Amino acid sequence: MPQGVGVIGAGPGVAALHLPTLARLAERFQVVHVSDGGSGRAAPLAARTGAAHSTGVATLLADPRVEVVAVCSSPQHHAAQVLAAVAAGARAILCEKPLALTRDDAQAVVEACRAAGTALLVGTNHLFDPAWCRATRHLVAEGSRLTTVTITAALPPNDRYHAVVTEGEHGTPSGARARPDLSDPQAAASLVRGLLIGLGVHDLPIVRDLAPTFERVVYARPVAPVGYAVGFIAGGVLVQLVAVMLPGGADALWRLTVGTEREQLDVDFRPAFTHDGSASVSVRSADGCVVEYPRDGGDGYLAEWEALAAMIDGTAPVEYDEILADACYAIELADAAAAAVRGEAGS
Amino acid sequence: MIGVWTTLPAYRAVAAELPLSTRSADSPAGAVVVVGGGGGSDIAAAAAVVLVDPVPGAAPTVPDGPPVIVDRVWLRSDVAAAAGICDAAVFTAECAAAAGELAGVVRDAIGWLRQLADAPLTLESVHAVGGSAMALLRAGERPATLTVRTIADRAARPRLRVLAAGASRTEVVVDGQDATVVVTTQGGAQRMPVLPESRQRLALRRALEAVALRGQGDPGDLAELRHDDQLCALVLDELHRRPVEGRQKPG
Repeated sequence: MPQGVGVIGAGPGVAALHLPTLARLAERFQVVHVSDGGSGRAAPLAARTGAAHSTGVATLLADPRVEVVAVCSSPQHHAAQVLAAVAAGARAILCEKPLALTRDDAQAVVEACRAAGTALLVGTNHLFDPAWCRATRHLVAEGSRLTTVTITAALPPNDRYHAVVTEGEHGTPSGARARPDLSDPQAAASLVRGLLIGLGVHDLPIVRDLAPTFERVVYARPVAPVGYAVGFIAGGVLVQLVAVMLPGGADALWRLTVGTEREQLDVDFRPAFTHDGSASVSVRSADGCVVEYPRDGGDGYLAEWEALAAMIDGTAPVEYDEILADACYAIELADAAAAAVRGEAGS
Repeated sequence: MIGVWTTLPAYRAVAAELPLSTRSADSPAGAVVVVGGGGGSDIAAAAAVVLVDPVPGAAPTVPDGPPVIVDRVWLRSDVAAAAGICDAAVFTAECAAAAGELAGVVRDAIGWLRQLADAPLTLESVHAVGGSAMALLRAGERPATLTVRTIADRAARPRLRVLAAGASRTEVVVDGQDATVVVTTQGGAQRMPVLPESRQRLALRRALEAVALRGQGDPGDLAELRHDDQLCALVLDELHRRPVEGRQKPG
Protein backbone atom coordinates (compact mmCIF):
# COMPACT_ATOMS: atom_id res chain seq x y z
CA MET A 1 0.00 0.00 0.00
CA PRO A 2 1.66 3.23 -1.11
CA GLN A 3 2.07 5.98 1.43
CA GLY A 4 0.19 9.21 0.91
CA VAL A 5 2.28 12.23 0.04
CA GLY A 6 1.18 15.78 0.57
CA VAL A 7 3.11 18.19 -1.60
CA ILE A 8 3.43 21.77 -0.38
CA GLY A 9 4.20 23.94 -3.38
CA ALA A 10 3.04 23.85 -6.98
CA GLY A 11 5.90 25.36 -8.95
CA PRO A 12 8.16 23.81 -11.57
CA GLY A 13 9.98 21.79 -8.92
CA VAL A 14 6.72 19.95 -8.26
CA ALA A 15 5.30 19.83 -11.78
CA ALA A 16 8.50 18.77 -13.50
CA LEU A 17 10.38 17.07 -10.70
CA HIS A 18 8.55 15.54 -7.76
CA LEU A 19 5.32 14.51 -9.46
CA PRO A 20 7.14 12.72 -12.31
CA THR A 21 9.61 11.21 -9.83
CA LEU A 22 6.90 9.94 -7.53
CA ALA A 23 5.07 8.48 -10.51
CA ARG A 24 8.11 6.24 -10.97
CA LEU A 25 7.73 5.07 -7.38
CA ALA A 26 4.01 4.41 -7.51
CA GLU A 27 4.24 1.20 -5.54
CA ARG A 28 5.73 3.10 -2.66
CA PHE A 29 4.26 6.62 -2.75
CA GLN A 30 1.05 8.21 -3.95
CA VAL A 31 0.46 11.94 -4.17
CA VAL A 32 -2.80 12.57 -2.29
CA HIS A 33 -2.75 16.33 -1.76
CA VAL A 34 -1.12 19.34 -3.40
CA SER A 35 -1.21 22.85 -2.01
CA ASP A 36 -0.10 26.17 -3.36
CA GLY A 37 0.46 29.57 -1.80
CA GLY A 38 -2.43 31.17 -3.63
CA SER A 39 -1.29 30.87 -7.21
CA GLY A 40 -4.03 28.41 -8.13
CA ARG A 41 -1.47 26.04 -9.67
CA ALA A 42 -2.20 23.22 -7.22
CA ALA A 43 -5.55 22.33 -8.77
CA PRO A 44 -4.31 21.26 -12.21
CA LEU A 45 -1.35 19.42 -10.71
CA ALA A 46 -3.56 17.59 -8.23
CA ALA A 47 -5.93 16.65 -11.01
CA ARG A 48 -3.16 14.61 -12.65
CA THR A 49 -3.17 12.09 -9.82
CA GLY A 50 -6.66 12.51 -8.48
CA ALA A 51 -5.26 14.24 -5.42
CA ALA A 52 -6.95 16.89 -3.33
CA HIS A 53 -5.76 20.45 -3.57
CA SER A 54 -5.82 23.45 -1.31
CA THR A 55 -4.23 26.80 -0.58
CA GLY A 56 -1.84 27.25 2.32
CA VAL A 57 -0.62 24.34 4.45
CA ALA A 58 -3.30 23.82 7.10
CA THR A 59 -5.75 21.86 4.99
CA LEU A 60 -3.03 19.65 3.55
CA LEU A 61 -1.54 18.90 6.97
CA ALA A 62 -5.01 18.10 8.33
CA ASP A 63 -5.66 15.62 5.51
CA PRO A 64 -5.57 12.18 7.18
CA ARG A 65 -4.26 10.54 4.01
CA VAL A 66 -1.07 12.62 4.17
CA GLU A 67 1.64 10.57 5.87
CA VAL A 68 4.63 12.02 4.10
CA VAL A 69 5.08 15.73 3.42
CA ALA A 70 7.16 17.14 0.59
CA VAL A 71 8.09 20.76 1.25
CA CYS A 72 8.63 22.26 -2.19
CA SER A 73 7.69 25.88 -1.63
CA SER A 74 9.95 28.93 -1.84
CA PRO A 75 13.06 28.61 0.36
CA GLN A 76 11.98 31.24 2.87
CA HIS A 77 9.02 29.07 3.87
CA HIS A 78 10.83 25.77 4.28
CA ALA A 79 11.71 25.89 7.95
CA ALA A 80 8.27 27.01 9.13
CA GLN A 81 6.50 24.46 6.95
CA VAL A 82 8.69 21.61 8.17
CA LEU A 83 7.92 22.62 11.75
CA ALA A 84 4.21 22.73 10.91
CA ALA A 85 4.40 19.29 9.34
CA VAL A 86 6.13 17.88 12.41
CA ALA A 87 3.51 19.46 14.66
CA ALA A 88 0.79 17.90 12.50
CA GLY A 89 2.29 14.47 13.01
CA ALA A 90 3.89 13.84 9.63
CA ARG A 91 5.71 10.54 9.58
CA ALA A 92 8.39 11.70 7.16
CA ILE A 93 9.37 14.91 5.41
CA LEU A 94 11.31 15.51 2.23
CA CYS A 95 12.32 19.15 2.28
CA GLU A 96 13.58 20.64 -0.94
CA LYS A 97 16.87 22.44 -0.54
CA PRO A 98 17.62 24.52 1.41
CA LEU A 99 16.38 23.23 4.73
CA ALA A 100 16.56 26.73 6.21
CA LEU A 101 18.07 30.12 5.57
CA THR A 102 19.56 30.64 9.02
CA ARG A 103 21.49 28.49 11.42
CA ASP A 104 18.88 28.97 14.17
CA ASP A 105 16.08 27.86 11.90
CA ALA A 106 18.04 24.83 10.75
CA GLN A 107 18.70 23.83 14.34
CA ALA A 108 15.07 24.28 15.32
CA VAL A 109 13.86 22.19 12.40
CA VAL A 110 16.27 19.33 12.98
CA GLU A 111 15.65 19.24 16.72
CA ALA A 112 11.89 19.22 16.20
CA CYS A 113 12.16 16.30 13.79
CA ARG A 114 14.51 14.43 16.12
CA ALA A 115 12.23 14.96 19.13
CA ALA A 116 9.18 13.78 17.20
CA GLY A 117 10.95 10.89 15.51
CA THR A 118 10.04 12.32 12.12
CA ALA A 119 12.16 11.08 9.25
CA LEU A 120 13.78 14.00 7.46
CA LEU A 121 15.65 14.26 4.18
CA VAL A 122 16.81 17.33 2.25
CA GLY A 123 16.58 17.18 -1.54
CA THR A 124 20.20 17.78 -2.41
CA ASN A 125 19.94 15.23 -5.18
CA HIS A 126 23.59 15.13 -6.19
CA LEU A 127 24.44 13.65 -2.81
CA PHE A 128 22.13 10.73 -3.57
CA ASP A 129 23.25 10.18 -7.15
CA PRO A 130 24.50 6.59 -7.50
CA ALA A 131 27.52 7.95 -9.32
CA TRP A 132 28.61 9.90 -6.28
CA CYS A 133 28.37 6.76 -4.16
CA ARG A 134 30.67 5.08 -6.67
CA ALA A 135 33.04 8.03 -6.66
CA THR A 136 33.16 7.97 -2.88
CA ARG A 137 34.11 4.32 -2.86
CA HIS A 138 36.85 5.00 -5.37
CA LEU A 139 38.29 7.88 -3.35
CA VAL A 140 38.25 5.87 -0.15
CA ALA A 141 39.90 2.89 -1.81
CA GLU A 142 42.51 5.05 -3.49
CA GLY A 143 43.29 6.73 -0.19
CA SER A 144 45.35 9.60 -1.55
CA ARG A 145 45.35 12.97 0.16
CA LEU A 146 42.66 15.31 -1.12
CA THR A 147 43.90 18.67 -2.34
CA THR A 148 41.30 20.45 -4.46
CA VAL A 149 37.60 20.41 -5.18
CA THR A 150 36.09 22.39 -8.03
CA ILE A 151 32.47 22.53 -9.05
CA THR A 152 31.59 24.15 -12.34
CA ALA A 153 28.04 24.70 -13.53
CA ALA A 154 26.95 26.42 -16.74
CA LEU A 155 23.20 26.14 -16.99
CA PRO A 156 20.67 27.08 -19.64
CA PRO A 157 17.10 27.83 -18.48
CA ASN A 158 15.36 24.93 -16.78
CA ASP A 159 12.38 24.92 -19.14
CA ARG A 160 14.48 22.98 -21.66
CA TYR A 161 14.56 20.07 -19.22
CA HIS A 162 11.01 20.50 -17.96
CA ALA A 163 9.98 19.69 -21.49
CA VAL A 164 11.55 16.22 -21.35
CA VAL A 165 9.80 15.14 -18.15
CA THR A 166 6.39 16.80 -18.32
CA GLU A 167 4.04 18.89 -20.41
CA GLY A 168 2.62 22.36 -20.04
CA GLU A 169 3.90 25.77 -19.02
CA HIS A 170 5.79 25.16 -15.83
CA GLY A 171 9.10 26.87 -16.25
CA THR A 172 10.55 30.29 -16.53
CA PRO A 173 10.63 31.30 -20.19
CA SER A 174 14.10 31.48 -21.69
CA GLY A 175 15.78 34.81 -21.18
CA ALA A 176 13.34 35.90 -18.51
CA ARG A 177 15.67 35.45 -15.56
CA ALA A 178 15.98 38.58 -13.47
CA ARG A 179 19.32 40.32 -13.87
CA PRO A 180 20.34 42.10 -10.69
CA ASP A 181 22.53 45.18 -10.68
CA LEU A 182 25.87 43.57 -9.93
CA SER A 183 27.54 46.96 -9.49
CA ASP A 184 25.59 47.36 -6.25
CA PRO A 185 27.57 45.44 -3.59
CA GLN A 186 24.48 44.70 -1.54
CA ALA A 187 22.59 43.34 -4.53
CA ALA A 188 25.63 41.36 -5.63
CA ALA A 189 26.12 39.94 -2.13
CA SER A 190 22.46 39.01 -1.91
CA LEU A 191 22.66 37.29 -5.29
CA VAL A 192 25.73 35.27 -4.35
CA ARG A 193 24.28 34.26 -0.99
CA GLY A 194 20.97 33.26 -2.53
CA LEU A 195 22.61 31.26 -5.29
CA LEU A 196 24.92 29.41 -2.94
CA ILE A 197 22.05 28.44 -0.66
CA GLY A 198 19.66 27.67 -3.50
CA LEU A 199 21.92 26.29 -6.26
CA GLY A 200 25.37 25.57 -4.89
CA VAL A 201 23.71 23.70 -2.03
CA HIS A 202 23.13 20.79 -4.42
CA ASP A 203 26.79 19.91 -3.98
CA LEU A 204 27.69 21.35 -0.60
CA PRO A 205 26.89 18.16 1.35
CA ILE A 206 29.35 16.43 -0.97
CA VAL A 207 31.90 19.17 -0.40
CA ARG A 208 31.40 18.83 3.36
CA ASP A 209 32.00 15.10 3.10
CA LEU A 210 35.29 15.84 1.35
CA ALA A 211 36.32 18.91 3.32
CA PRO A 212 34.35 18.94 6.56
CA THR A 213 35.71 21.96 8.36
CA PHE A 214 34.86 25.28 6.76
CA GLU A 215 37.68 27.72 7.38
CA ARG A 216 37.25 30.87 5.31
CA VAL A 217 36.31 32.36 1.99
CA VAL A 218 39.30 33.46 -0.08
CA TYR A 219 37.32 35.23 -2.76
CA ALA A 220 33.73 35.63 -3.88
CA ARG A 221 32.42 37.48 -6.89
CA PRO A 222 29.15 37.60 -8.79
CA VAL A 223 29.24 36.44 -12.38
CA ALA A 224 27.07 38.15 -15.00
CA PRO A 225 24.35 37.63 -15.98
CA VAL A 226 23.54 35.48 -12.93
CA GLY A 227 26.18 33.43 -11.19
CA TYR A 228 29.06 33.31 -8.79
CA ALA A 229 32.72 32.49 -8.46
CA VAL A 230 33.71 31.55 -4.93
CA GLY A 231 36.92 30.14 -3.54
CA PHE A 232 37.22 28.90 0.01
CA ILE A 233 39.30 26.69 2.24
CA ALA A 234 37.87 23.82 4.23
CA GLY A 235 39.88 21.28 6.14
CA GLY A 236 43.01 22.30 4.26
CA VAL A 237 41.34 21.65 0.91
CA LEU A 238 41.00 24.37 -1.71
CA VAL A 239 37.44 24.57 -3.00
CA GLN A 240 36.32 26.58 -6.01
CA LEU A 241 32.70 26.98 -7.01
CA VAL A 242 31.78 28.56 -10.34
CA ALA A 243 28.23 28.72 -11.63
CA VAL A 244 26.54 30.76 -14.30
CA MET A 245 22.90 30.68 -15.37
CA LEU A 246 22.72 31.54 -19.03
CA PRO A 247 19.81 32.70 -21.17
CA GLY A 248 20.26 29.85 -23.64
CA GLY A 249 22.84 27.95 -25.60
CA ALA A 250 24.71 24.77 -24.82
CA ASP A 251 23.22 22.01 -22.73
CA ALA A 252 23.91 22.03 -19.03
CA LEU A 253 27.38 21.40 -17.70
CA TRP A 254 27.50 20.48 -14.03
CA ARG A 255 30.82 18.98 -13.06
CA LEU A 256 32.40 18.12 -9.76
CA THR A 257 36.16 17.61 -9.87
CA VAL A 258 38.11 16.17 -6.99
CA GLY A 259 41.87 16.46 -7.07
CA THR A 260 44.11 14.28 -4.96
CA GLU A 261 47.87 14.00 -4.84
CA ARG A 262 47.69 11.37 -7.57
CA GLU A 263 44.37 11.48 -9.34
CA GLN A 264 41.68 13.68 -10.73
CA LEU A 265 38.12 12.45 -10.45
CA ASP A 266 35.33 14.04 -12.47
CA VAL A 267 31.63 13.60 -11.80
CA ASP A 268 29.50 14.99 -14.62
CA PHE A 269 25.93 15.31 -13.44
CA ARG A 270 22.97 14.95 -15.77
CA PRO A 271 20.75 17.99 -16.36
CA ALA A 272 18.37 18.89 -13.55
CA PHE A 273 14.88 17.35 -13.59
CA THR A 274 15.79 14.56 -15.97
CA HIS A 275 15.59 10.82 -15.42
CA ASP A 276 18.10 9.42 -17.85
CA GLY A 277 20.44 7.76 -15.44
CA SER A 278 23.19 8.66 -13.04
CA ALA A 279 26.04 11.07 -13.42
CA SER A 280 29.18 9.81 -15.11
CA VAL A 281 32.43 9.27 -13.23
CA SER A 282 35.89 9.28 -14.73
CA VAL A 283 39.24 9.10 -13.02
CA ARG A 284 42.53 10.20 -14.50
CA SER A 285 45.63 8.86 -12.81
CA ALA A 286 49.03 10.51 -12.67
CA ASP A 287 50.31 8.59 -15.68
CA GLY A 288 47.43 9.79 -17.83
CA CYS A 289 45.38 6.60 -17.79
CA VAL A 290 41.65 7.29 -17.61
CA VAL A 291 39.06 4.98 -16.09
CA GLU A 292 35.41 5.64 -16.92
CA TYR A 293 32.84 3.95 -14.74
CA PRO A 294 29.62 2.86 -16.43
CA ARG A 295 26.59 5.00 -15.71
CA ASP A 296 23.86 3.65 -13.49
CA GLY A 297 20.17 3.51 -14.42
CA GLY A 298 19.10 5.36 -11.30
CA ASP A 299 19.38 9.02 -10.52
CA GLY A 300 19.58 11.25 -7.47
CA TYR A 301 15.91 12.22 -7.52
CA LEU A 302 14.72 8.64 -7.36
CA ALA A 303 17.42 7.76 -4.88
CA GLU A 304 16.46 10.50 -2.44
CA TRP A 305 12.85 9.30 -2.31
CA GLU A 306 14.04 5.71 -1.98
CA ALA A 307 16.28 6.82 0.87
CA LEU A 308 13.30 8.42 2.58
CA ALA A 309 11.36 5.20 2.15
CA ALA A 310 14.18 3.28 3.82
CA MET A 311 14.08 5.68 6.76
CA ILE A 312 10.35 5.20 7.08
CA ASP A 313 10.85 1.45 7.04
CA GLY A 314 13.54 1.70 9.67
CA THR A 315 16.15 0.11 7.42
CA ALA A 316 18.20 3.29 7.25
CA PRO A 317 18.92 5.80 10.00
CA VAL A 318 17.78 9.41 9.88
CA GLU A 319 21.00 11.37 9.96
CA TYR A 320 19.82 14.37 11.92
CA ASP A 321 23.30 15.51 12.88
CA GLU A 322 24.53 15.27 9.31
CA ILE A 323 21.51 17.15 7.99
CA LEU A 324 22.07 19.94 10.49
CA ALA A 325 25.79 20.07 9.79
CA ASP A 326 25.12 20.23 6.04
CA ALA A 327 22.67 23.09 6.49
CA CYS A 328 25.01 25.03 8.74
CA TYR A 329 27.96 24.50 6.38
CA ALA A 330 26.00 25.99 3.48
CA ILE A 331 24.75 28.91 5.56
CA GLU A 332 28.19 29.68 6.95
CA LEU A 333 29.72 29.59 3.49
CA ALA A 334 26.97 31.71 1.98
CA ASP A 335 27.22 34.31 4.74
CA ALA A 336 30.99 34.50 4.41
CA ALA A 337 30.80 34.76 0.63
CA ALA A 338 28.22 37.53 0.85
CA ALA A 339 30.46 39.40 3.27
CA ALA A 340 33.39 39.00 0.87
CA VAL A 341 31.31 40.38 -2.00
CA ARG A 342 30.42 43.38 0.15
CA GLY A 343 34.14 43.83 0.73
CA GLU A 344 34.01 43.19 4.43
CA ALA A 345 37.29 42.19 6.04
CA GLY A 346 37.66 38.88 7.79
CA SER A 347 35.23 37.13 5.53
CA MET B 1 65.13 29.43 -48.59
CA ILE B 2 66.38 30.51 -45.18
CA GLY B 3 68.97 29.09 -42.85
CA VAL B 4 68.04 27.50 -39.57
CA TRP B 5 70.57 27.71 -36.77
CA THR B 6 69.95 25.21 -34.00
CA THR B 7 71.62 22.65 -31.82
CA LEU B 8 68.32 21.05 -30.83
CA PRO B 9 67.86 17.64 -32.47
CA ALA B 10 64.09 17.99 -32.67
CA TYR B 11 64.46 21.21 -34.65
CA ARG B 12 67.09 19.76 -36.93
CA ALA B 13 64.58 17.03 -37.69
CA VAL B 14 61.69 19.34 -38.45
CA ALA B 15 63.91 21.60 -40.57
CA ALA B 16 64.28 18.55 -42.76
CA GLU B 17 60.48 18.43 -42.96
CA LEU B 18 60.56 21.91 -44.58
CA PRO B 19 63.09 21.07 -47.30
CA LEU B 20 61.95 23.71 -49.77
CA SER B 21 61.95 26.53 -47.23
CA THR B 22 64.95 25.90 -45.00
CA ARG B 23 68.58 24.85 -45.02
CA SER B 24 71.11 24.40 -42.27
CA ALA B 25 72.79 27.72 -41.44
CA ASP B 26 76.51 28.27 -40.81
CA SER B 27 75.92 31.11 -38.40
CA PRO B 28 72.99 32.73 -36.58
CA ALA B 29 73.25 35.94 -38.57
CA GLY B 30 70.34 36.21 -40.94
CA ALA B 31 69.00 32.80 -39.91
CA VAL B 32 66.07 31.53 -37.94
CA VAL B 33 67.74 30.89 -34.63
CA VAL B 34 66.28 28.25 -32.43
CA VAL B 35 67.17 28.55 -28.78
CA GLY B 36 66.03 26.63 -25.76
CA GLY B 37 65.30 27.99 -22.35
CA GLY B 38 66.07 31.61 -21.62
CA GLY B 39 67.50 32.82 -24.92
CA GLY B 40 71.05 33.38 -26.08
CA SER B 41 73.62 35.97 -27.01
CA ASP B 42 73.69 35.35 -30.74
CA ILE B 43 70.14 36.21 -31.59
CA ALA B 44 70.38 39.96 -32.20
CA ALA B 45 71.36 39.45 -35.84
CA ALA B 46 68.89 36.65 -36.43
CA ALA B 47 66.14 36.96 -39.00
CA ALA B 48 63.76 35.42 -36.47
CA VAL B 49 64.01 33.56 -33.20
CA VAL B 50 62.21 30.48 -32.03
CA LEU B 51 62.22 30.35 -28.28
CA VAL B 52 61.65 26.75 -27.27
CA ASP B 53 59.85 25.83 -24.10
CA PRO B 54 61.16 28.86 -22.22
CA VAL B 55 61.57 28.40 -18.52
CA PRO B 56 59.13 30.60 -16.64
CA GLY B 57 60.67 33.99 -16.01
CA ALA B 58 63.20 33.74 -18.83
CA ALA B 59 61.31 35.70 -21.44
CA PRO B 60 62.33 39.18 -20.27
CA THR B 61 65.98 38.35 -21.04
CA VAL B 62 65.24 38.06 -24.76
CA PRO B 63 66.45 41.30 -26.39
CA ASP B 64 64.20 43.26 -28.68
CA GLY B 65 64.98 42.95 -32.34
CA PRO B 66 64.03 40.02 -34.52
CA PRO B 67 60.54 38.60 -34.36
CA VAL B 68 60.22 35.93 -31.72
CA ILE B 69 58.10 32.83 -32.00
CA VAL B 70 57.54 31.03 -28.74
CA ASP B 71 57.16 27.26 -28.83
CA ARG B 72 55.04 26.52 -25.77
CA VAL B 73 54.51 22.92 -24.83
CA TRP B 74 51.01 23.26 -23.44
CA LEU B 75 49.82 26.24 -25.47
CA ARG B 76 50.20 25.60 -29.15
CA SER B 77 49.19 28.38 -31.47
CA ASP B 78 47.30 26.06 -33.81
CA VAL B 79 45.23 24.63 -30.97
CA ALA B 80 44.57 28.16 -29.76
CA ALA B 81 43.43 29.09 -33.25
CA ALA B 82 41.11 26.09 -33.29
CA ALA B 83 39.61 27.19 -29.98
CA GLY B 84 39.22 30.78 -31.12
CA ILE B 85 38.02 33.65 -28.99
CA CYS B 86 35.11 33.00 -26.67
CA ASP B 87 32.31 35.36 -25.74
CA ALA B 88 31.96 33.66 -22.38
CA ALA B 89 30.62 34.76 -19.02
CA VAL B 90 33.34 33.04 -17.04
CA PHE B 91 36.56 31.15 -17.66
CA THR B 92 38.11 28.37 -15.63
CA ALA B 93 41.43 26.57 -15.83
CA GLU B 94 42.57 23.53 -13.91
CA CYS B 95 46.11 22.27 -14.17
CA ALA B 96 48.12 19.53 -12.58
CA ALA B 97 51.72 18.39 -12.90
CA ALA B 98 54.64 17.08 -10.95
CA ALA B 99 56.51 19.78 -9.07
CA GLY B 100 59.29 19.96 -11.66
CA GLU B 101 56.92 20.79 -14.52
CA LEU B 102 54.32 22.75 -12.67
CA ALA B 103 55.60 26.25 -13.42
CA GLY B 104 55.36 25.83 -17.17
CA VAL B 105 51.93 24.27 -16.93
CA VAL B 106 50.65 27.08 -14.73
CA ARG B 107 52.02 29.67 -17.10
CA ASP B 108 50.40 28.04 -20.08
CA ALA B 109 47.10 27.61 -18.23
CA ILE B 110 47.13 31.35 -17.62
CA GLY B 111 47.97 31.80 -21.29
CA TRP B 112 44.95 29.75 -22.24
CA LEU B 113 42.67 31.92 -20.11
CA ARG B 114 44.11 35.03 -21.78
CA GLN B 115 43.81 33.46 -25.19
CA LEU B 116 40.18 32.37 -24.87
CA ALA B 117 39.15 35.66 -23.29
CA ASP B 118 41.20 37.64 -25.83
CA ALA B 119 42.08 40.08 -23.09
CA PRO B 120 44.92 40.67 -20.66
CA LEU B 121 44.34 39.29 -17.19
CA THR B 122 44.72 40.79 -13.78
CA LEU B 123 45.18 38.78 -10.62
CA GLU B 124 42.66 39.50 -7.90
CA SER B 125 43.36 36.76 -5.41
CA VAL B 126 45.60 33.76 -4.98
CA HIS B 127 45.91 31.26 -2.17
CA ALA B 128 47.91 28.09 -1.77
CA VAL B 129 47.76 25.15 0.60
CA GLY B 130 50.03 22.15 0.57
CA GLY B 131 51.21 22.21 -3.03
CA SER B 132 47.91 23.34 -4.50
CA ALA B 133 46.71 26.81 -5.32
CA MET B 134 43.62 28.61 -6.48
CA ALA B 135 43.40 32.04 -7.98
CA LEU B 136 40.81 34.48 -9.18
CA LEU B 137 41.74 36.55 -12.19
CA ARG B 138 39.83 38.98 -14.33
CA ALA B 139 39.64 39.46 -18.06
CA GLY B 140 38.04 42.86 -18.18
CA GLU B 141 34.86 42.42 -16.18
CA ARG B 142 34.76 38.68 -16.62
CA PRO B 143 36.12 36.38 -13.92
CA ALA B 144 38.60 33.64 -14.61
CA THR B 145 39.53 31.03 -12.04
CA LEU B 146 42.63 28.91 -11.83
CA THR B 147 43.22 25.70 -9.89
CA VAL B 148 46.75 24.35 -9.57
CA ARG B 149 47.54 20.90 -8.23
CA THR B 150 50.93 19.31 -7.61
CA ILE B 151 50.94 15.61 -8.43
CA ALA B 152 53.04 13.54 -6.04
CA ASP B 153 54.67 11.54 -8.81
CA ARG B 154 57.77 12.79 -10.60
CA ALA B 155 56.76 10.91 -13.74
CA ALA B 156 53.24 12.35 -13.82
CA ARG B 157 51.87 13.39 -17.17
CA PRO B 158 50.90 17.09 -16.98
CA ARG B 159 47.36 18.04 -17.78
CA LEU B 160 45.39 21.21 -18.08
CA ARG B 161 41.74 21.81 -18.83
CA VAL B 162 40.36 25.20 -19.70
CA LEU B 163 36.72 26.11 -20.05
CA ALA B 164 35.02 29.18 -21.47
CA ALA B 165 31.40 29.05 -20.37
CA GLY B 166 28.82 31.05 -22.21
CA ALA B 167 25.94 30.36 -24.55
CA SER B 168 28.61 28.59 -26.56
CA ARG B 169 31.01 26.57 -24.44
CA THR B 170 34.61 25.86 -25.37
CA GLU B 171 36.68 23.31 -23.52
CA VAL B 172 40.34 22.71 -24.17
CA VAL B 173 42.15 19.73 -22.69
CA VAL B 174 45.89 19.41 -23.00
CA ASP B 175 47.01 16.03 -21.74
CA GLY B 176 50.69 15.46 -22.21
CA GLN B 177 51.30 16.15 -25.88
CA ASP B 178 47.66 15.64 -26.85
CA ALA B 179 45.28 18.55 -27.16
CA THR B 180 41.58 18.56 -27.87
CA VAL B 181 39.18 21.42 -28.38
CA VAL B 182 35.45 20.84 -28.08
CA VAL B 183 32.95 23.59 -28.79
CA THR B 184 29.42 22.95 -27.54
CA THR B 185 26.35 24.87 -28.59
CA GLN B 186 22.66 24.09 -28.31
CA GLY B 187 23.07 22.20 -31.55
CA GLY B 188 25.60 19.81 -30.07
CA ALA B 189 29.31 19.35 -29.49
CA GLN B 190 31.98 19.67 -32.16
CA ARG B 191 35.53 18.50 -31.74
CA MET B 192 37.61 21.01 -33.63
CA PRO B 193 40.20 19.73 -36.09
CA VAL B 194 43.87 20.20 -35.25
CA LEU B 195 46.55 19.21 -37.71
CA PRO B 196 48.78 16.33 -36.58
CA GLU B 197 51.87 18.48 -36.96
CA SER B 198 54.68 18.51 -34.43
CA ARG B 199 54.86 21.66 -32.38
CA GLN B 200 58.45 22.16 -33.50
CA ARG B 201 57.50 22.18 -37.18
CA LEU B 202 54.60 24.48 -36.40
CA ALA B 203 56.92 26.91 -34.61
CA LEU B 204 59.45 26.81 -37.41
CA ARG B 205 56.76 27.46 -40.01
CA ARG B 206 55.52 30.42 -38.02
CA ALA B 207 59.07 31.75 -37.82
CA LEU B 208 59.37 31.52 -41.59
CA GLU B 209 56.07 33.39 -41.93
CA ALA B 210 57.32 36.05 -39.51
CA VAL B 211 60.43 36.54 -41.61
CA ALA B 212 58.33 36.84 -44.73
CA LEU B 213 56.05 39.37 -43.06
CA ARG B 214 58.75 41.27 -41.21
CA GLY B 215 57.75 44.86 -40.72
CA GLN B 216 54.09 43.99 -41.06
CA GLY B 217 53.37 43.31 -37.46
CA ASP B 218 54.81 41.50 -34.49
CA PRO B 219 53.65 37.92 -33.86
CA GLY B 220 52.96 38.97 -30.30
CA ASP B 221 54.29 35.76 -28.74
CA LEU B 222 56.86 37.46 -26.57
CA ALA B 223 54.49 40.03 -25.11
CA GLU B 224 52.03 37.26 -24.37
CA LEU B 225 54.71 35.17 -22.76
CA ARG B 226 55.77 38.07 -20.55
CA HIS B 227 52.16 38.68 -19.55
CA ASP B 228 51.66 35.04 -18.64
CA ASP B 229 55.04 34.81 -16.92
CA GLN B 230 54.28 37.77 -14.71
CA LEU B 231 51.01 36.31 -13.43
CA CYS B 232 52.51 32.85 -13.16
CA ALA B 233 55.24 34.22 -10.91
CA LEU B 234 52.64 35.60 -8.52
CA VAL B 235 50.86 32.23 -8.32
CA LEU B 236 54.11 30.34 -7.88
CA ASP B 237 55.32 32.74 -5.20
CA GLU B 238 52.22 31.93 -3.20
CA LEU B 239 52.61 28.23 -3.92
CA HIS B 240 56.22 28.17 -2.79
CA ARG B 241 55.43 30.23 0.26
CA ARG B 242 53.21 27.39 1.47
CA PRO B 243 55.01 24.18 0.55
CA VAL B 244 53.34 20.88 1.13
CA GLU B 245 54.45 18.82 4.08
CA GLY B 246 56.13 15.69 2.80
CA ARG B 247 55.16 16.51 -0.77
CA GLN B 248 57.77 14.46 -2.53
CA LYS B 249 56.68 10.89 -2.29
CA PRO B 250 58.72 8.42 -4.31
CA GLY B 251 57.88 8.88 -7.96
